[in-house]
Amino acid sequence: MDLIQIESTLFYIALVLYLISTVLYFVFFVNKNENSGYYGNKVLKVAFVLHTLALISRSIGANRLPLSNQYEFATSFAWAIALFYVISERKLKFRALGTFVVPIIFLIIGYAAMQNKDVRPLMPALQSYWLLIHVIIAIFSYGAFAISAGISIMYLSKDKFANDEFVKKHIPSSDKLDVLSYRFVAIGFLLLTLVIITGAIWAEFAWGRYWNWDPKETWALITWIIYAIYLHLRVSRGWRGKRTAIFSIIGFACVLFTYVGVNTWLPGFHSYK
Amino acid sequence: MEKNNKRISGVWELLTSMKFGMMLLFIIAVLSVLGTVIPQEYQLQYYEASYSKFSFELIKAFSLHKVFTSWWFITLIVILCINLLLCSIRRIGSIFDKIFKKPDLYKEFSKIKSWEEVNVENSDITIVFKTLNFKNVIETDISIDAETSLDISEEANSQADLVRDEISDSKSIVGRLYFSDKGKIGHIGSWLTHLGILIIAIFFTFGKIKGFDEYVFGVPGDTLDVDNTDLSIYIEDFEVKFREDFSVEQYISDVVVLKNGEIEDAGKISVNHPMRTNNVNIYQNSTGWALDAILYKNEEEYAKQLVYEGDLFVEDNQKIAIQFTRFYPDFDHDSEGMTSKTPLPNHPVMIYALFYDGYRVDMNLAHMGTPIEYEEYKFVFEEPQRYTMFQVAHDPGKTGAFIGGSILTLGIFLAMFVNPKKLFIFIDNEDKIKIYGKSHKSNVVYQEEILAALEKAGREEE
Repeated sequence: MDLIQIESTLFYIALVLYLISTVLYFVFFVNKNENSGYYGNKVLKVAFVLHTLALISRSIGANRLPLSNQYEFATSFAWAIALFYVISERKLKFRALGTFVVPIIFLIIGYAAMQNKDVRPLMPALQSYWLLIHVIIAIFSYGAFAISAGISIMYLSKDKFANDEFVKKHIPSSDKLDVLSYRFVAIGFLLLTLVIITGAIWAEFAWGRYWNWDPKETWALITWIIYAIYLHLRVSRGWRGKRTAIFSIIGFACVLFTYVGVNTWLPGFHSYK
Repeated sequence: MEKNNKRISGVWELLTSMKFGMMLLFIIAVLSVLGTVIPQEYQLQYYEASYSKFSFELIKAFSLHKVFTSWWFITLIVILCINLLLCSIRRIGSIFDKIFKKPDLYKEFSKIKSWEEVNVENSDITIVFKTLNFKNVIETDISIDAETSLDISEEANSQADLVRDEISDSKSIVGRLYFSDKGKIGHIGSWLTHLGILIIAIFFTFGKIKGFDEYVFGVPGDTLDVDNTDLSIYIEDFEVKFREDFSVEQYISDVVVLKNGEIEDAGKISVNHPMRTNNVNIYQNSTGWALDAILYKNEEEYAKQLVYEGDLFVEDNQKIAIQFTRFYPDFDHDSEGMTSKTPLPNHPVMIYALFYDGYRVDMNLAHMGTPIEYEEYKFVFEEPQRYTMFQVAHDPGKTGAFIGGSILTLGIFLAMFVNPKKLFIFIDNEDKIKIYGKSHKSNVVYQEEILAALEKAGREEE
């Protein structure tokens, strides 16, 4: 069994475990079942470890980091969200976040499962350290935005929950959720800026122009503008709560479109066709 | 006259407001979408054929086929730049005051409306400041004008008229204030962000106006003159490196750059490794096939030319012409149609279209060396070779744009991650200790940090 086959096996086990974790977190939240939450978290961590091993196997098997096509970016993106989530849950100690974030991980890794997994050698334009820097920063930027969107969904649905002991124990106050969402947007935004800048540097080396209004570039800029407006409204205009939560979700929708939509529907340098 | 002044002042207010800048950014974002869903920079005929009449008219009228170079898009960018410039000028004074001006403690003290009384000892105050990473704690007496008889301890939330004099009658002293602040440099973050965007926009535009992009191509042995410069490129060699699976590993051109006939530079150019010389960058852009074509007329050699894929070879006063339409280096024909088994010229076949007196008279495949005959003419194609294409670019705005990008990143970092904070601890004459903290971004989190610091101070006291 070669490393790519091992990667494939580990990937699918991780995919199934993410699904199980999603279900357990859902049961935990809906039925207020503490055990489900506990096991949901454990299963997620096992999935994350296997996912990490899958990425390592692919890196060794392909002799490069898995960051160069739709499948590789999707699986790395899902891994970055999982990493942010594991760290967040450990640090912030609020398990209910998993109910809102783990489904996003599952959706992204599910999207990865639908892509072509062949290991292909890199075309000349993709043989660049700037590509690695650009894409590594992108997965963490997108990962941070995903967590922020998960927190914002939680914020918006918080009013719908009865304010019982379970909610008090597992969901922070609305103010705290609002701040957490903002913090992840801030991390994602700084990283997105670096993604655009490193992408521009790479483009200058590869295509002779650092900005070409390619659909991917333009959508990255649109996403940047959406989050810039969010941050401006928050910092200067004092926007808080529901309005910023909606903005954060719209921003993440733009992130997903920049990644999936542009590559699928809009032709350009990033379409990998 | 007054009406005009009001109008001018209204326009000025609008142009210098951040709200307007945000609106412009939003409009730019929305309109940019058009440039991603409508294919850009094609000939108008393409849109006429691909869209309905109404859509085509809209595309034509609003230059939606070249959104990012259209007059309205450029106008929006120019207005945004003006807004950013004016906004930056307007804000710089107050930002520098916030960062460098010594805080007016009396004024700040008088503005505090929500003191929190805390149960800590006087000796804990230093621990609280230290735990919250505040340095340089200012300690001062707060005094009020005796005539106002204002009791700060009871009415700390009132707008007290404080006497700005530390050396005052001991009767007028209402308490002792401890103050410190940190992260003041964070105030400049959003300003730098705006400056960064402005610099990028200016240098990007400058680069577009003053720069150029030229494309030249040829085969080894050719010397290519580059328009807009006094440079020429001599191609010594061109190689396409393939892997075992015939995927391309790299395109490598070996070139000598000449200036007025003198050697200026020499070396290899490959994808991701441009040659930077004489204020231009030479990029490996693409490749294709070229064939040696010989035209015979009445069995005598009439003309000879190197023909590139896609090119027309027109001769004899346009009486005869042939177009080299497509090339298959390792031709194969299977159920999926014509294809090339490998990228190597093992079994080269070309597709051509033949024109006589302006009419297409033939279209077919031809092997190398096989004559293509019509009337008194005969074409023979042979010696397939790869040509190399270079992009020669000069962009004087590039460095400025990257400096703008760096300033933008620094600005965002400062704005997002350096949070200006202030901490006031006040001990009134009755030895009651009150605390007030202010954070530029999130007071919720800061209040938690203060509580944690107070708890820590309490524990250390025990």
